[in-house]
Amino acid sequence: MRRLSRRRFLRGGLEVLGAAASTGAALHTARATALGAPPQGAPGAAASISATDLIANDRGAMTLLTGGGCNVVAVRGPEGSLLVDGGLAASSGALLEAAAAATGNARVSTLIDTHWHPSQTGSNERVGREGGLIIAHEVTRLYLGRAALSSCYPGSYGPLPAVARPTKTTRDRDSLEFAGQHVDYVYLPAAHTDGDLYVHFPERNLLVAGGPVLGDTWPVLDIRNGAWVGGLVQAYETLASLARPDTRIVPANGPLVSGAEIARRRDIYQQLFKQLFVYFNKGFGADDVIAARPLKAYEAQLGDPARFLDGAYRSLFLAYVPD
Amino acid sequence: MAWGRSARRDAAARGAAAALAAGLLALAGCASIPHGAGASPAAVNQRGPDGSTPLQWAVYGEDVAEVQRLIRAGADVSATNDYGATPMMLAAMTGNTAIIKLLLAAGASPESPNEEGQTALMLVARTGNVDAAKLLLRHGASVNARERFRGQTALMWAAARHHPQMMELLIDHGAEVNARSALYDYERHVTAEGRAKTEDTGGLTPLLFAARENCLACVDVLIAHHVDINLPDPDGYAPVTVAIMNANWDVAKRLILAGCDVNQWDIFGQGPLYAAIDVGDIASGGRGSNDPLNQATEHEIVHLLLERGANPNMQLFYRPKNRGFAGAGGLVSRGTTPLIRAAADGDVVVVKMLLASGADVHLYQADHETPVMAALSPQRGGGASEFRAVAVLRVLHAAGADVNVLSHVHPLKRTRGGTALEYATRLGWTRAMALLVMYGADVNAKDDDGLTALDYAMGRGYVPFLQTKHPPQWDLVKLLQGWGATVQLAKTPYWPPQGPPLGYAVYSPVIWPLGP
Repeated sequence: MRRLSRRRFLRGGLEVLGAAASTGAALHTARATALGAPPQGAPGAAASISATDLIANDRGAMTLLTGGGCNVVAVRGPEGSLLVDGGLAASSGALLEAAAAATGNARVSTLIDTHWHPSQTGSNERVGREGGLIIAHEVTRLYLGRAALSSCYPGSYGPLPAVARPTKTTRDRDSLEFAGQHVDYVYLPAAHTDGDLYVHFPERNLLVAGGPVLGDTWPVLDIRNGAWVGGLVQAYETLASLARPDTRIVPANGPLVSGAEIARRRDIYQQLFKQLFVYFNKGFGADDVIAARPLKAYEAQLGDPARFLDGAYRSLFLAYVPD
Repeated sequence: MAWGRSARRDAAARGAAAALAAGLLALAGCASIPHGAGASPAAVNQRGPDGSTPLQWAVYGEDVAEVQRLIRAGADVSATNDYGATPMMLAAMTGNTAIIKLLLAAGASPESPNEEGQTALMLVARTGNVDAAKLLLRHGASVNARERFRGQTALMWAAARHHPQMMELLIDHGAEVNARSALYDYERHVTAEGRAKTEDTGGLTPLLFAARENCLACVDVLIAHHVDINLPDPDGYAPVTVAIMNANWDVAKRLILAGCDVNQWDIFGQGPLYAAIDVGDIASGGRGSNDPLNQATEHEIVHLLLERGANPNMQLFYRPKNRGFAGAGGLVSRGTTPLIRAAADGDVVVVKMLLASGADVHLYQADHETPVMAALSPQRGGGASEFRAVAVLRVLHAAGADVNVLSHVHPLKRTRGGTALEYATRLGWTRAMALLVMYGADVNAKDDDGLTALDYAMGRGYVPFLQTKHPPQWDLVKLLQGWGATVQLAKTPYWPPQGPPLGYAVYSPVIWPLGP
């Protein structure tokens, strides 16, 4: 397992910073990027799209599309489909084709962005140009209207053209009826960014968790944009309270997660949060925390947590800014 | 003469320095160097206790004739004393062109870096002596060399020391206008005192230096040379925000008029608009600029920012690190808006400006503290007197503010929450109380502790660290009862004695509120 010394970590960060400086990227981008690749939400090349039915015996009713930068859920509707997240712009064409094939409708009438990162919002422009409704948190609308920096990838993202920006926003929670089913979309404050939404299909026992959850690895905190470890803990508490053990959770990337697994991860993050306070009071730096391996019991399942721990611990320094 | 103020100061002190140098030379045992051609190189390079040679002392004292004499006598122009200083570094420090010329002619390196890579050009850049810098550049000094301690360049030094003409020269010779100094990623943020501290992260650019140091002419030079006016520091502080945070309103204005991004937020979620209102804090000792040359004002900057599209509803992620808890920081938590900050100042002019630009009176902090409550929070850094708070309340009410919102306990802010009426009651601000009741405040609403405004008037409120229990205020009790207040506790709750409020040092199973 690759472990980073402070020197290697900083050197990597500086190299990225040097490359990114001309585009205005911030240090924290470099720090995060130095700790893992590819970063969550980073722009990248298109890949082939795979489709998996989420609803058995009802082909195309709800389909999971993977390989386009993030997990995309397509829901068949009478006047067009509903998409939760739109993948990378480079994958948008292939994704929308796959969605059309799965749902039998070429038009996307509604797109919900779970957050503003490029891997979620790459289809906004195509959907917007076709007159589709784009739903997001108000913060997502704000970020997409400008060049935004992130801890999750080097450089900046945006502004997207006006037609690609959300047309309906919420700051808290809202819902819609789509193809006869109730859909809730609700704010998860400060979890992965500062504008995360989860999308709940209660009648289908399906929860699209967005950025705070990755299927088979640790999440990433965009601490440049308001995410912090306490918000992540609260997000898991919220998701665990909604989910039954058999609820299927669609993460931002990676395989589906059960409600039981979400409850387990909630416990992990709650325990970690307490442990970070212990480290905090001992005067640990982020490297010390990584070296202490507080998550070693879960590394076999979820991989090297160095990048996650770095962001989580640094977020404490921001949240607990001294007197 | 292209010298800046530090060079002029140096020139004025030259005579005194020469006398001092002669004295020190004598003390250092170097006064016996014979004049004339008969001195041996060994004698000429005789070192004092700190390793300095007579040439170094002569350079330090800006004694051109003596420097000339010593060089002729065979003085080592590259000698380094125990501090790593060469004659060229000492000459560059005072920006003495004549001596630099002599040293170069005698073979001294135009770079003459010390052990940390600090070059003669950097030192000269700091003095503002353009002629001396030209001389070094003509002899091949590297314009983009970086010292290794901070990774700073000569251009950064010139910007930080208000030398626009020097900057012009350096840029004309290829200085990178967007160069960034070294970043600092401190491992430890907790001191022996047992609490976290913030550290500067470095990573400044020439424009950030100029913005911080209030050098408008330097900013002009950089803009003329197509600097990236939005390139932030590693924490995301944009140049305009840095200017604003230092109350350098003229620089901020120049950057705004040059088209800078008026919505670039930093890692704390603070944009230029919030920073302007925060720093412009009228009555609570807001940090004013020490430089009297500002023509622009906070209000002008707020107006300009809004006019250029600043988002009045941008919310903070965290309390910015430049705001200690004892200042307005005590008011601030996740979700704070420019409107909340302006309301806390009782700045009705800015409140009106923000509302006219679309500020949402229904955007609250994470613990649901509202603009109305902010106006009623002078003890936590807000600057409002009751008179000003009442003026703000009227404006907020006209904009549709809800006076019955309940804010929650917030351990880090050390607040117990409550209703706006409870806030006003705690202050004893009867006019504000009357206004709130007139606007429909529920006089019997309970807070998270189960207390009503009447309980606070009876002195039953939470007793914070180092505070004593409040006695009943019967005039407030009568007022509230006259407005229909009937709900109160049977007795004062037991408030356990509080220790120092080191909220961040203790894990609480209840993470403080984050919701909108």
